[in-house]
Amino acid sequence: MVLSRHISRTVLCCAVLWASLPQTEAAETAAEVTVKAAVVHKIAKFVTWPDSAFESPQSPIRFCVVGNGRIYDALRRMGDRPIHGRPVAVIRAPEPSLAAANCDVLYLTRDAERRAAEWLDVVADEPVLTVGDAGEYGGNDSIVMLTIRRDKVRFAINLEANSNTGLSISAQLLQLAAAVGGGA
Amino acid sequence: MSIFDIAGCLVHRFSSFPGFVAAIMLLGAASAHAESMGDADDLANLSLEELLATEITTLSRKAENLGGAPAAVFVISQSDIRRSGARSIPELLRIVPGMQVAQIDGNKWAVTARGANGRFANKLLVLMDGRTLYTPMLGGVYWDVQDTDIAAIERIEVIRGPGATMWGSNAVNGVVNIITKHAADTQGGNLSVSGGQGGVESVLRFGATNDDFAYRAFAKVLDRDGNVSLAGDDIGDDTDMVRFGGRIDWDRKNGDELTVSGEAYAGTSGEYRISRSVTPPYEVINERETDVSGVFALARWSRNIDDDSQIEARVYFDSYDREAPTYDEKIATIDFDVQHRFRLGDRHDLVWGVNFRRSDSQTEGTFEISLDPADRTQNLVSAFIQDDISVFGDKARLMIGSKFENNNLSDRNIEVEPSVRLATDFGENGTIWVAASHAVRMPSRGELDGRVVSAVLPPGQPSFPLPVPLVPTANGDGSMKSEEVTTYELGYRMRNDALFVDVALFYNDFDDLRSLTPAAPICAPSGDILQINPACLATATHVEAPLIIQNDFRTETAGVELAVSRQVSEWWRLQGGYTYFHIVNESAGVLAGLAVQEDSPDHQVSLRSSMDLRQNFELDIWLRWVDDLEGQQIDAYTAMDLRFAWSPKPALMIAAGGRNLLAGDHMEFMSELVDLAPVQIEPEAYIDIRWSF
Repeated sequence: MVLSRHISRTVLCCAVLWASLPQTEAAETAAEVTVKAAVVHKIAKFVTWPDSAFESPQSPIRFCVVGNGRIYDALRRMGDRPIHGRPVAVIRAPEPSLAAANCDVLYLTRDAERRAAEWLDVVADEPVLTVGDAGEYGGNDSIVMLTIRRDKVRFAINLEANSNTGLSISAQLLQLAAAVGGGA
Repeated sequence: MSIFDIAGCLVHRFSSFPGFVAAIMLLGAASAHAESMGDADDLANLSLEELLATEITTLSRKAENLGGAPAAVFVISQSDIRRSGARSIPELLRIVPGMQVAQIDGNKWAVTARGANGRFANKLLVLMDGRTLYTPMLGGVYWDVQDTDIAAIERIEVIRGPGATMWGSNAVNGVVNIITKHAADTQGGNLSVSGGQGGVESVLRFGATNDDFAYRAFAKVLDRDGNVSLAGDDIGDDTDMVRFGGRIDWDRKNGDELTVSGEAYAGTSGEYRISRSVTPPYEVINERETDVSGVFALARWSRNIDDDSQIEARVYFDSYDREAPTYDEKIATIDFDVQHRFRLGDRHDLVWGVNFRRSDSQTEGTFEISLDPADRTQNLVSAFIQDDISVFGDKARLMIGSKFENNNLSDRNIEVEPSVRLATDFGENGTIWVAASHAVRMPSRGELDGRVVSAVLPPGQPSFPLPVPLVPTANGDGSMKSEEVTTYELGYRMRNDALFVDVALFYNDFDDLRSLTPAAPICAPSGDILQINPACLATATHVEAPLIIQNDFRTETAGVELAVSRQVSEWWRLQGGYTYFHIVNESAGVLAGLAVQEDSPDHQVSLRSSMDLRQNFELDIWLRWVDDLEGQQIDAYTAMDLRFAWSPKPALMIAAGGRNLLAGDHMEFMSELVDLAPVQIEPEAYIDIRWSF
């Protein structure tokens, strides 16, 4: 009797605890990450950086990854393909204060979500293409927002977030976006 | 690899089942790397558009390479659609190597693959989101009404060759699958206005989304100018149409997906027709109009039962009404479909399904075309199963399956439409495939019940002197059975980061094709046989010379289809196509009837150049050369389409271009019913403005 009450209390307790946990999103699969890396790599080809963003014509385009996502490895595998004739370097992002000077693309993985605003803020007026990963739902104020819908990678472009960066986004890219926000 | 799951194309009839698209684009690419689905190299070879079409779950679930699609497939992508400047679906289909597309007049087209073309080309099945656009009345597709918001088309998948195992009867020479965009991909407001020498049209669309629920609605109005006669005069082949439609998508977080879509339209299609009567002047050419209207509603639900199985159910209602100068037809169709796909062990991917379709048709005939009985109800019941098996240590994939169909108008109890397809890796980045398949085309209502006047010859013909007019007709006596084909195909495709090549060879062995057998001339209206009772001429208004529709024709056809795409640089892409079509052999001594066999060009060549100039300019040049049509004495022609687009602001795109340039006024096709006077298609210039808000 005592035992059964103990068990039932434990079960109830666990159930409440479980129910109160945030719903975890499905983990990114390897395939999803690989496709996202390829998409981001391609998107960069549709973006023009001002010459001032690079030290020399041979300087690499630097992809910085914030957070622990597997996207870092996936981007590195993509990395031997040049963009605009420049080599590609993939690095783990340094501190927010160093991002503007060291990153041309800033990829905010899902587990960087809580600090996303801080990162986005420091590069808001710099020629840095910010890329966020919304998972199934949610999102932040990155210029490019990746989502998954019906098993496919989609991206939205937030032009307002790009208004002070000096980056130029091609019309072809906007045509491929699932949504374009932030006004003309 | 079935990431890209070309099989998808064969396996799945509609969009939401995993994968197809990218598959096709990907083709051989990934297949060279058996061990790594989602290999970075493979994906890096894709364009951004192709990446966005790549299904990630399919990718992870089917981790083994299956060797590419064992079929002749081609996908028209969104950028193809935008950059073509096309304003109708037939124009888009000209993009596809192997398709035979010819414009008859301002609103009528002859569209097929692999021969037997016509205004009522009846060996090509066309579907939009799983809903058949093929009419069972006279067979084929009424292209004047099969339209939508073109910018809301996600892609068009074209499979040449029999697709009957998955899609059922009439998919003899190919299947065209038009897939519209998910509502979440058409968000915000969008206004498109275009105008030029070919008329004006505009589309207004609005879409919104709320969490997992998205919708769009659109209205489209078009007023197209017609073309010119042989003498160069304007004729009445104008078109006007108003169309409303929308789509709702609800993607539940538990994996259920629900789609509801519908459209309604009304308009008129003009034509320059030969009107016939038994009183002088017997045949006159005049401008006439067909009033057209229609509506459809479709609902589709799918659920992922688990990682290895998926079920999808669909129901639609489709109805149209055509009031033509020759006859009126109304048809209402309801269709139910259920499919279940599941993995069995490591090697088998099975899909099976059942379908029921009921069509009620009503007609009102005239002297020129009539059906007896005027009204009919058709029931079609079918089931299919197909297994996609990975073989030879996953170096190859074998697809085997069959459809089983029963139609209450067909004489056979069950039509069996099997196919066997095998694809395997071949060389660097390449796939080679072979296929053997059997398909049928069911007789149309016109062929079973129809009487079609093909001419009125005035009295006193030298070869057949009569005091009254002689009227040859094609008559269905209810005995026609299904036409049959057995097709053998061989294909190769390869892809690397700069080059894509796809070649398909086919050989078709047709049997029981429609033929016309002359029957004894009769006096009308008495119905007496002229040879038995020559005195009947005294009271006759005319003599009818019936040609009875039967199945005594055979033919063999063969051909080669080549598609090449080359990414010359990041900003410049070239795409070429070549089609060779040949009638190997045909049975002599029978009238081939309405299925005129010389209605396809022997050779067709297409070359498209797509350039992204700077950030915001697109320049597209598209050259087409189409060989002559011997059977119609229509000359070969070269046509060029041009499009220059500028996007001064992200929300605005302004395009200017021309269609059918270089060719001048030229004929492309004549209606096989011999009911339309020759029409020359005109070149035209246009401006197209699209604004998003």
